[in-house]
Amino acid sequence: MFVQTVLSGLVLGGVYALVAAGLSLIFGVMRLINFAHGQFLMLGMYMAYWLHVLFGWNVYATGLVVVPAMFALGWATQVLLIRPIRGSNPSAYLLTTFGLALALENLAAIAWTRDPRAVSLRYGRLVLGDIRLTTPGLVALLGSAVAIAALYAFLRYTRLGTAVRATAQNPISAELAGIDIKLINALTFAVGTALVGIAAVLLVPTYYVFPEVGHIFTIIAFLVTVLGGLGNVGGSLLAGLLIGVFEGISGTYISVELARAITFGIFIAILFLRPTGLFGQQARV
Amino acid sequence: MRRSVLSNFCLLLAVSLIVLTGYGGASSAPSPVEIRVGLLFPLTGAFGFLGTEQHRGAKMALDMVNAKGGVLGTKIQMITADSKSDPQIAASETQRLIDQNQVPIILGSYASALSTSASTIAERNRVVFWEVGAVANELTQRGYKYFFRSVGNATTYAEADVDFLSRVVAPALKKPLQAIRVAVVHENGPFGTSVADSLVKLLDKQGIKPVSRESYPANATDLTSLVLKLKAARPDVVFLTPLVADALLFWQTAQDQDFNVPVLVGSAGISSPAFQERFGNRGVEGVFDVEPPSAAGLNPRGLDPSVAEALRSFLVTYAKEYNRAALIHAGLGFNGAWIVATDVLPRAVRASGGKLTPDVIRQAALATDINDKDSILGYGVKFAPNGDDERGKAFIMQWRNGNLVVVWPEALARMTPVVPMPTWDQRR
Repeated sequence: MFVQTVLSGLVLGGVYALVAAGLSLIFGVMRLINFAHGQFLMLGMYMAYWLHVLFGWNVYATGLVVVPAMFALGWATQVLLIRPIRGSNPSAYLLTTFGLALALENLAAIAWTRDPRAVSLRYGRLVLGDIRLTTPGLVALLGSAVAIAALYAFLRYTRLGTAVRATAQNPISAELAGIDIKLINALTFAVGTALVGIAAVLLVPTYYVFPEVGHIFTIIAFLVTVLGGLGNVGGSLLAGLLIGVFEGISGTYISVELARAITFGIFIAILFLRPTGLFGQQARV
Repeated sequence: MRRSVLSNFCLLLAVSLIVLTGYGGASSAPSPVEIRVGLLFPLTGAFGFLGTEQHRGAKMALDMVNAKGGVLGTKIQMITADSKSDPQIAASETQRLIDQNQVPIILGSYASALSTSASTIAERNRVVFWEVGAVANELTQRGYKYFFRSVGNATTYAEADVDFLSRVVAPALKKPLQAIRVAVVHENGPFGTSVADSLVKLLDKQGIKPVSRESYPANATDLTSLVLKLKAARPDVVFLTPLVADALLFWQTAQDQDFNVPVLVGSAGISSPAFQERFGNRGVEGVFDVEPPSAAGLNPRGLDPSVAEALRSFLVTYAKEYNRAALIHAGLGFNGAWIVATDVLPRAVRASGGKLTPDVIRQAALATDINDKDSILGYGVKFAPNGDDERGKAFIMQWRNGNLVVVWPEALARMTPVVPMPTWDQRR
């Protein structure tokens, strides 16, 4: 039972990590908390759902459309909503993305009602003794790992990725070094949102899709981002997996009802001991 | 002096005319009384699927009565409101029905959580709230005067469960009753908690202590931990009290994790057509359910012929219009609305003297006295002072070949129960 709990926790944790990686990246580069992050996930899930239900596409194949679409959506959001308010009151960012979150959720409720929707898939499983891993679970685990690895490779080994890291480190110096900050900001937001698109496609086979589904993922993404250290993508991965496993263990061994509350409690305890998160650095002035 | 005598006389004449026409009663021309009925159900949102079924049943009953001329010649005006599966919206919609549409009676509401908030508003405004589907015990423990429910409360579920356990399951599993391993699992809202509490209390009286008692939030997105815990507890019987989406999630997780149990008695979402549609006939085969009887799954042999005919007519019309069988929730909606329209409202209109007020309807409701055999779902209606239906009963149903049929008690049973359920391997 313990191994199964941990395994199921890792599957969920992988998706948490993926969602948080995008949020962490956006914060790292632009010092911006995107409150609408979870709602982007919700939109991605609906997109995948409708492509599957209306056109019969394989759920994972919808990623070919969903991920580029989310990339474009992220780019557009940064250019049309975020960039114009640059330089104004810091709370303007907060309110703008918060307003966007509310707007997206309610528009979705009007367009598609609040009925929870599920794709009915027949899927297989791997059985190893007492352990079971469903196919969607396996795909989610591998998919998250590959996506985060790709993100890491992009940031570490490509020129563009290095430019992103430079901007995160010090935007002014980066600009002086000739990096187009406007482009990098838009690109970062777009990549962060594209990651959420991948997470959406990985979730749709086993999760209900409804307008409020973004809420809990936004909160958990914040949790994971802070736990992993704001701006630390690798930290997000570990923190995400940790949170996923914690939740599973709390649920199985203590109480299903309190699992999330216990996880949040542990989060508070960790922050108490290490305010910058598990892997974060001290704030730069 | 003459003038005042004349005007007094005119006044007296006018008043007499008004009074005389007002006391026309049943023997005069069709009553000018207006009959407005509010319908409050979750048509969208998490409970949307079953809330819609219940609304359809209720509306069909009122439509059928209107087709025959209405209540003593007056058609019923129906005003529908969508509570969107949200208790706050249920409350605001109730207020709107009362303020804007001046309804003296509201039929609702599918879920205990919604009923609690909506009926509070109705009580405050002294409007009759006629609950057709929500069973939590606490709904009738508030001392409300305008709340009635045409369905047995959560204790009736527990009574049916324990009766089934001792008379059918224990013998079938060849175990003494006290040795049966029982797990009680429920959603942590008013419905699940009320049923689970009643069940644990009754089990205790039989000397049975559950090997596992688990609650979970109905909007949980992952129930793997719950199923793993149950697996470890190795129960013989699981009593599951879910809502809608979580019922399906539970069963899917049980399949993913190969959780096998000889008997699962569910409720709510487990008796939904969506359950069968999602998992197919083999996927749901053998699963039990405790609830008021399924309209399409009960045996009408004990019913009065005219009532059996009304039931048959309802089943045929419902199947034709909505392309699926009327099960528990559609049946509850129909039953409640039918009793209101054919029994309570005529009595109220006759006593009303021209204006159908909530108090008149309330008095008429208190006089309701329908026997089991005269009721479409096989259980009668007579209200206790707190609004509970004293004759309400729950039954045990089982999915057999894609149909949800009553299997216990024998009075309404269509088939005999089959214990144990197939395992997941046998379902493939």
